[in-house]
Amino acid sequence: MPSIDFRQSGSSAVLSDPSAELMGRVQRGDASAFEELLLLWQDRLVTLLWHQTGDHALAEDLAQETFLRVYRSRASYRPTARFSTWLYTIALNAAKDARQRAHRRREHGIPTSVSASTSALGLDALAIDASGRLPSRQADRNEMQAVVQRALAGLNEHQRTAVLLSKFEQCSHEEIAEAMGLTVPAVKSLLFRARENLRVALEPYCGGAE
Amino acid sequence: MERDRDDADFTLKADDDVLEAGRERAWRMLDLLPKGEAHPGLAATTIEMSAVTTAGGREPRRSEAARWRRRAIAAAVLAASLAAGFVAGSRVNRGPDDPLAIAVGRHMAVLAEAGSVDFLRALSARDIPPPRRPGGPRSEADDAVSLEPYPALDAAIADFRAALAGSPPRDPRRDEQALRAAGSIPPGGFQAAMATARALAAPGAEPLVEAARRWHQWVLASDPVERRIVPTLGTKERLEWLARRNRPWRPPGFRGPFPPPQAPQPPGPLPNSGGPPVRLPREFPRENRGPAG
Repeated sequence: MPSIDFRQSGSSAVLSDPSAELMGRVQRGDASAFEELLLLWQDRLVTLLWHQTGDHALAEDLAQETFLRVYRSRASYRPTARFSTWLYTIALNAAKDARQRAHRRREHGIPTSVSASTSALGLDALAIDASGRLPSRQADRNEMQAVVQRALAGLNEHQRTAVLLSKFEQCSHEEIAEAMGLTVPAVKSLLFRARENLRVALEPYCGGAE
Repeated sequence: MERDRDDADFTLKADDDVLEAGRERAWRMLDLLPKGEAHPGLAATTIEMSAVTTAGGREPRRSEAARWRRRAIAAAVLAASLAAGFVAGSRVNRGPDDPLAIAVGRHMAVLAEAGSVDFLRALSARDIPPPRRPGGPRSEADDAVSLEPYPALDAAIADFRAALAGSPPRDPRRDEQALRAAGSIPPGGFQAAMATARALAAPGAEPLVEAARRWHQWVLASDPVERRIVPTLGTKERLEWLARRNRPWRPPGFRGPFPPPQAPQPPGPLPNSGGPPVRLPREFPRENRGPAG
């Protein structure tokens, strides 16, 4: 499959997206561009996958797997959308594959927070835990971080993914839909339910955070 | 009637506003989530792995000219590598045709934990008892750990032996994964892993195998954090860790045995006086002679 000459394509996505231009150089066999791309995205991707899986070491493994997949499928990349959307699609697929492998093997499982079946219990536990606290209690930052992480882990996987892409990657509804393989209304609905679940889980702590 | 409806609408609207404000506050609290950082070596390892993957035949199709150009470059690189390998005297072969490299890639976790040949030799030279968990006397749980089999080591040794005998079990998918794993190891580490694999598979390697087994028991008995860190240590640090862990357990507050009784001192001059004992004169005032008795 011939690679695309990005400079002649005149794609607006490329003009406004330095990562897409780097990807074009990767397609042309520029090894240094791949390294630049790695350095540019690795921390963001690890953060996304960390909050997605709840396991930092697993997130690093998945980020590496994602970059390897990016490299292997470099010829199929088309700069019709933001590079980030393509990257997130690959990362989410890598996470999904890893979860399925772990499920099959029942060995090194992804933390239970990912499981949708336990997410409701997580939210319940959080709400019960919160109800026993005084509203005026000023939790310190670490404690609040843990609370927010638990609230996020209590969401089901789809909701969590949508939240992470929307909140931290500033993805539009269309981009989230593309990365997750959903429709835009489905993404809007996911985000609404996620926000509501977060409100229920975090409301008792809101006084401490602000 | 109309007024009641208006009141109800107003109340619902107010409730919605309150809920939306709550959602907004919860959304803002997500800013507290910590940022993740990739391991400093992630980029380098990924680039190495991508190179191994490419060499493994998953390169996308290219034009004929590009393919020939690539072949020419590959031939030049191969010639340069052979020359460099000859000069360096390196006998390491991590290509797809080296069954031991594949076996090493398959059992990297076992080899990483076992460490170097030097470490295993040093360990087998010491009389290391079975492990004990920290913070308490030896228990039945410790004995259970020390009796636990280590099937991964047995499987690894069987694989290494088969590879050295030239009859390794073949599984293309696993072999490819194994090669990728092998490719992710820095050259020095790879040579050490190959040497350890050879040593464990060699005839008469029972002491080394036993050392690896005993070390595994100690690692298993450590806490989860240590379990991840200890395999990354060098020989010296591993032995120091083991020495620390192997200290006899003492209950809290125990300050060691009492000092041995001292033999009675013969009468003589005071220490460091250098002269005969000092006698106070009888006429020395009583009140200046110190406490009686």
